[in-house]
Amino acid sequence: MARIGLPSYLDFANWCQQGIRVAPKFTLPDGVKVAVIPKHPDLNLTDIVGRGGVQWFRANNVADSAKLRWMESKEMFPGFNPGGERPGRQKTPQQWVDVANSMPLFAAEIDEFLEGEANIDTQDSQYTSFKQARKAKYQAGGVSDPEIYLCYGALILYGARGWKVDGVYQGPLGTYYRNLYSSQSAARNTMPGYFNVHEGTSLPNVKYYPEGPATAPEFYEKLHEMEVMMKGLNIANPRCAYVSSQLIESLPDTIPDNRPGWDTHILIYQGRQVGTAGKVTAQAHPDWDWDQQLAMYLIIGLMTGKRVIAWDDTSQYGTDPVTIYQSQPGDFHITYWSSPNGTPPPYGNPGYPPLRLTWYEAIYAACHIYKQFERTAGQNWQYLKFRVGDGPWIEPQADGSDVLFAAANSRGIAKGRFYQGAYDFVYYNPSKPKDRTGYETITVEFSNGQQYTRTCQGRVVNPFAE
Amino acid sequence: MATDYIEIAETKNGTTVSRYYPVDSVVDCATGDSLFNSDSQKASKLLNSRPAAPAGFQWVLKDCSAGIPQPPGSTEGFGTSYVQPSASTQFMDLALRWVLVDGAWWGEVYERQTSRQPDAGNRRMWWLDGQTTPVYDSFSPKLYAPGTRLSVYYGEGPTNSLFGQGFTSKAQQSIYIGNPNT
Repeated sequence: MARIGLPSYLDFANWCQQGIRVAPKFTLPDGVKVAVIPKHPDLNLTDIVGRGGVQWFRANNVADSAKLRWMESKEMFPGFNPGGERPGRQKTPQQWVDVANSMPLFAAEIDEFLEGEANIDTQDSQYTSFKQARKAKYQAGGVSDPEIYLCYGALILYGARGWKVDGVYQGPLGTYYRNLYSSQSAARNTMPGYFNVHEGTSLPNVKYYPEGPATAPEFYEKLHEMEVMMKGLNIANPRCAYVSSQLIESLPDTIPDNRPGWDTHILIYQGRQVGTAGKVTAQAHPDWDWDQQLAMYLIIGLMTGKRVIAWDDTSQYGTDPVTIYQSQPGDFHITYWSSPNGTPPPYGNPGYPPLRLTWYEAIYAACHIYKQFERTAGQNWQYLKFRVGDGPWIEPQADGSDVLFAAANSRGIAKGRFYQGAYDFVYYNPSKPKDRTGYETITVEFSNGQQYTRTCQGRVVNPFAE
Repeated sequence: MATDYIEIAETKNGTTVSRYYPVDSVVDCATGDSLFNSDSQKASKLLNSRPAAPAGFQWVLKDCSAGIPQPPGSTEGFGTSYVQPSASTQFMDLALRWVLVDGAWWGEVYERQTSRQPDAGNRRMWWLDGQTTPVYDSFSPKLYAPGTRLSVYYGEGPTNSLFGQGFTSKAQQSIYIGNPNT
């Protein structure tokens, strides 16, 4: 059984998008779908479709058949009221329906109608009318099961942040969390606002934007959320989007337990040497660990929810590394130029990315890995029995709640599937560091007794196929 | 002129870690003399001048002037995206050196000796690869396999006149420990 490597084109010294330009074209197994945002204006928006298995793109000029339409309330009703307000909230449900009917059909669509000054809530009649009108329009157009997603990170969606219920810490093995795996109705009770109103119209999503330093153990929470949402879905083709980006809201402080408010959004410096001319530094949200992103896109997004949607703005960047990006008013990051010899800033039009776009390659790498699982396509991913070294065997839970036990015991998870002599499995332990002390010798056992023993690195996804 | 090296190997619990140093960097701690003014003075003098090995360790010294195992030549990514908040000082600078452990090369990330001490009342902080608890005050070397990607965040605070901003500053360094022979 061989370890699945990363795409050969991947170059971490290159801050531009790579897979979208050079990855081979293929279709992902199991009907898995992925959406990204093209970030370079010279990309051929026809040629990018299917590269790396990615089929959907958030871009104005991409064909509707490949478009992820990301909707904002302010663009549904542009302009301002006489009082200077965005008009969306004041519009009637019928006016929202009219807007819904004015738009064509897309490959997929998602909204952020809860955000901004024109926000409407997912329970508002404007919102539900809009979504129902969109569903009807797809069905009239022959698309019986459209890819319409609820507002990303909507408050009615289930969340397990901090393993707290109503603000009280329960721990991952708390009765509340364990019961969610006991039945579909238990899973559905986590978010009646979704299942009673939106199921059958909009698909759910798990949004992940790390808010603090504990990004690694939050893997358990997000996988759990995805499992609960998928278990609760009572539709023919259940799927749930994992929506995430590369940014961390804030970092740990230099003094423990001293976290002034400005730690959020004051952020961090990331720099790049531009030849001998000088250095450009961006003050921005830090990007979180690439390997954790890859693990979460693969295990939570592709293997469990079957959908990944990249969350980012639509800023465009050049590819010439001897140019720099000039901050624009309203940018979420600011760039600074320093030169030892007084060289003026070499702004490009547009300039090289001020922050790495390499996080997109975590999505393409996840797709690359998932493609290698093609021979077992159609089989369900199951938690595997496994052991660490000569330790005791860890039996899978009958109800599929393994992630709760993994979280409680700070250990890894092993998921696999097999079909006609082909075996695939993934091991990931977010609780072990990447350094030499974090390696584990893992033996997995499939339900037919087939065993494999492999060395696995901590906090890095370890995928294998035979 | 070819550089001469010594190998200093530490063995504990059956694992041998070898580090290679250019000979001109080794100085007799007692006298301040260079230990390698001449070939005849080499290993024996160094052995005699070293402190006793820590409990559980055994010092093994070899004269490697005839050549040493060649470490991976590439550390691509390391340094190219290094962020230094102040151009005037080596501020909490992390560096990479290659270490042979049981015959395999590992990249050892360590804090440079030139890393500055924090201002009074301040602490230094590093946060690596998503761990829950940051590393404070000093950075212990860590071994990583070639091909490992690291995101290291570091800062000093809560007040830091170095930046003239009066509050904690943080920076991010991405490290890619290159694969051998690439």
